[in-house]
Amino acid sequence: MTVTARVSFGFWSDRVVAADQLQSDLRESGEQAITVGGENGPPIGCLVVLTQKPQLDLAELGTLARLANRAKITIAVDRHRPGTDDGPPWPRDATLYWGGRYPDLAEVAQALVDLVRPAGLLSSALPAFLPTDRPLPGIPHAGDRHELIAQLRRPEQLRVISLTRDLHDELLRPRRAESRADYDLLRLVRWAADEANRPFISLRLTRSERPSIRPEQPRALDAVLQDLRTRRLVLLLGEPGAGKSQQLRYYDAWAALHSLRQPGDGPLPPGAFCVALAAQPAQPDITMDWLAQQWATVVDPERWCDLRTFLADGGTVLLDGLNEGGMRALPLREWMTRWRDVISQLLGAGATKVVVSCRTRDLVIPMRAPRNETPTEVSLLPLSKDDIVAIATQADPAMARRLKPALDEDGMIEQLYSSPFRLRRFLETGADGIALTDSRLYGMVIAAALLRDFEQDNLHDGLVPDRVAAALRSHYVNPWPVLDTIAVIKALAALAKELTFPAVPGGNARLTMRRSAAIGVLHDALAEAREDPSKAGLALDTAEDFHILQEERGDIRFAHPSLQHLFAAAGCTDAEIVALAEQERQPAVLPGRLPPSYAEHRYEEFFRFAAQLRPDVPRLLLRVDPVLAARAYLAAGPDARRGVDAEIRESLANLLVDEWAPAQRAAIMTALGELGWRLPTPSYRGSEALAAVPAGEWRLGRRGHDDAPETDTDSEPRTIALPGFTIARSPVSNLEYGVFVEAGGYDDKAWWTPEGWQWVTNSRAVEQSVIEWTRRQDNLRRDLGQIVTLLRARRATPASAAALLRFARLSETEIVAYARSQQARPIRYPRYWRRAALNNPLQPVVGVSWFEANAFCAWLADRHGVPVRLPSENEWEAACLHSLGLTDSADVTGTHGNTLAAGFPSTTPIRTYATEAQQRSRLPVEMLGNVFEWCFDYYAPGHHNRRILKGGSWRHEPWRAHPAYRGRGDVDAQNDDLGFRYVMEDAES
Amino acid sequence: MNGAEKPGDDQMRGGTEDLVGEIATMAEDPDSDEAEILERLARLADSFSPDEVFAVLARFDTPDLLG
Repeated sequence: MTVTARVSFGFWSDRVVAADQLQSDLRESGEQAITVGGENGPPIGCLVVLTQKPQLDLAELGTLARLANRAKITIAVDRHRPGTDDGPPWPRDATLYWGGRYPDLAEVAQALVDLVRPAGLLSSALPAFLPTDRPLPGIPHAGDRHELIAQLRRPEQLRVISLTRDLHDELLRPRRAESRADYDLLRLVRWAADEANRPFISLRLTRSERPSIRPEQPRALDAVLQDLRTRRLVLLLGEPGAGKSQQLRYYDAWAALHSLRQPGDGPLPPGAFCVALAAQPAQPDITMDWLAQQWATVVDPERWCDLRTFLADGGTVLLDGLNEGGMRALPLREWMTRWRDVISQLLGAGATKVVVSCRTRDLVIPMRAPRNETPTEVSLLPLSKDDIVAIATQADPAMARRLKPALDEDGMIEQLYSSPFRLRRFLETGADGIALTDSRLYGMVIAAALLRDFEQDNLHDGLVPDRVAAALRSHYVNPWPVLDTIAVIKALAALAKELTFPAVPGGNARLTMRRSAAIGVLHDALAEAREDPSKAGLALDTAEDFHILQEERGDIRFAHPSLQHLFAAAGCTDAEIVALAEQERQPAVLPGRLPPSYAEHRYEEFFRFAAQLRPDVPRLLLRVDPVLAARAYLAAGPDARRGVDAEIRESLANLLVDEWAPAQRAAIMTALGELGWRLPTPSYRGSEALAAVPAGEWRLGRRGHDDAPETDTDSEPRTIALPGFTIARSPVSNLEYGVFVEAGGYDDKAWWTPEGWQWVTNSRAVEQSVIEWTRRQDNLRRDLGQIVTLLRARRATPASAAALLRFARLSETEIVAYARSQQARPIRYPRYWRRAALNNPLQPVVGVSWFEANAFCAWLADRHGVPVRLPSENEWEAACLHSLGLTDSADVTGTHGNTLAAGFPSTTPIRTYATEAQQRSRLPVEMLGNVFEWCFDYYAPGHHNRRILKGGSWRHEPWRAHPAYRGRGDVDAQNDDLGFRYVMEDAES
Repeated sequence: MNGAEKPGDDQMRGGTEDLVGEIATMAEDPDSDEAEILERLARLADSFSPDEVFAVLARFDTPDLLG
């Protein structure tokens, strides 16, 4: 088969000199760029169209359409921004503007690279439609529906389809569909007609279930729904403005295209029906009948089919906005419970899938259906750095150039701009600075709106005095000191407080208020600010014009919950903030399967904003709740931090002395880790870092360990006499391991075994890995029935059983390709070193192979001049029993440590599960749960590439957290629950 | 609701798709046929990339069938 190379950038232009210059700039950056044209040629990655004409003639449009059909995406470089009288531009995925100055072309070239950066973008799979009055020369032209469907079915899957203007207008005209093909064409053409749908960047989501080797891999909803592992109910979760509705509407259009592309005589794939739950009446009508009414607004049931028939044929229903209950006179829990019943009815009526979108924070009940089955959950990914740069480049390349270095410098900045809503609002400001915290970002957005208003004759005269304009211009990056003086801002703060503060401690916050009530609050607040209270209505209109407030069906709400919390924080006195902290103080709740509730998010954000706006807030909170104070302090941003680190650390450390509840200890330790507190190590408070295990006789191995479903997973029962030894009290922490990384541990051959050095330098033979995997494959192939036996015994999930079966069928080519991909991965630090959920300095290091664990031990031994090594299995089990005050495995009872049952979504900081007795007597801690710990010993004779792992982990069922449980690991495995502790010989404890 | 009869060529695919649920249900039933379970597992297995397969095998809570 001949594979035609795809050209990175193909240029088509009527500005030859400029196009040459751009291509030259791109080539200097290492990109491939050529001029394209004519009938035939190679596929094009990105078609760049540089033209000075706002409108193209028919011949030019024909050429453009032919080229666009060879390209993955099309980017226009236009000289002029479109005027109001210009028609819709020819189909493109993005537009860059160039003012005509040749020196600026280097920046345009950089913008092109940023837009097509391979890591970031997914191009839309859906075609664009190009309506014209006459056929375009050289490309097929659809004059009626049959010809249009024929175009959609062409095997090359056209990106641009030409059709008559009459047909296009007819498909856009509001009316009900009269047949399946009609229904599909209407949805597809209407989606494509909205230019906002062309950008190709928001279609990224991840699914929570295992197995997935790259959970961050971008996918669109069509890929999720086609995946055989996807359950019948799919929850699409994400924060406000993250793009959930766009995902649903995209899938709806994709399903229409998929259906239209089916050849005429076969069965059609299930259709899709998208419903916005915001269309529910104020008095909710959560029934199948209401859905049928919505169906009848888009389909004529008399001419085609009704909803029940659509469902019986296996249609997919997309319900957008499960959180919309917050807008109505129905408690959210009841709203969701009723929808869950309706979803069960939809599935019972034959729907293949139901997809429900919901704000992550608002999912207040487990949405299980049908028959209480677990749904598939997918979440919108936060934007990556490349995404942020690409989106900013599309909106304003100059802002993108300012953002890029800030993103490279500080991970917190990436987090700040990773919300599509925040990024979009920031880009709308056109600001020439970068906000470093979210309060400042929103402040800039508000300031920009006010300044625009001044520039447009001050339409809201009287509420925003002229004098603040100059002050805002000079305080653009930190506008709150100026905003705080404006009466309408004060009034909005009062409104936000009224909504946010619970009427009773622990009560519910509100998101909406009737318009008349909101005007009442604004009236009183304006009077208090010595402004004319009769302007309350004008104040509300002003806030709507500035996109701070929104009105829906007579209810007023802030445009985003974050804005509500920000205004509430801005309007509070110090005393009110402290009083709220006192009222709402509650013990940390163990994280369960559900996302945090709205109330938890509310106060997290409120106090963060308060700390950003008033640097004294963390110190004030310290006497109420040191953990809250620490979180607020850390979130305040570098500018707002006043040197109270030591004060907060001391308060937190004092709390640890008497606090033994794991959830509380985890919260305290997490904050301590971020504030630079250290655990003892051999070189720092050494006597507290090590535990002496006395000489004695130990009864180890399987002894009455009846709750384990497997009988062959424990070490053998045995009685062993061991001399005394010294073992680390805790697994090695990220902080401790980081010293090894920083000291060049991965570059110094001296610390590595020969095989370990081969592994870390990627010089291990691919053949060796292939031989090992092939041997295992042979073992499995001997009896595939054992996979079913495991499944029936619940020792394998359906997904892991299927993975085993697939492994048995892997070709040698696939195994070799996998081994090569592993070898190509550079090893400079542990595998999950940069994963936020696992890299608090006080969490145990994970993602370390047996080789890395040994290298660390060798390095530590050199530093301290004593032998340091991994424990043997006997030593590990004896130390574990010693940590529990026992000498016999048979006496171990109950569940210990961070396992799946605890509900933590990751490892917990070291000593979260330490007991009072272990701390008092300086015993080893957390031998069970949290991280699976490497031992030195071989797992089985003859298999030298597998070593023993002990203790179970945060990913394991509780029964594995037992001293006798014996796990196994390939020496090069780097799972996210693999860590270690060491034995230090001849050490004084 | 009584919708009009649809044209014969407008038939969509009926039935449901929940392979994981089906396999779990069959595994619970001691009378279910092993070959049928394997057939469904094979359909599910086809959707796995080699990367995903190795990710599962490298987990230590996967039963040790491989030696």
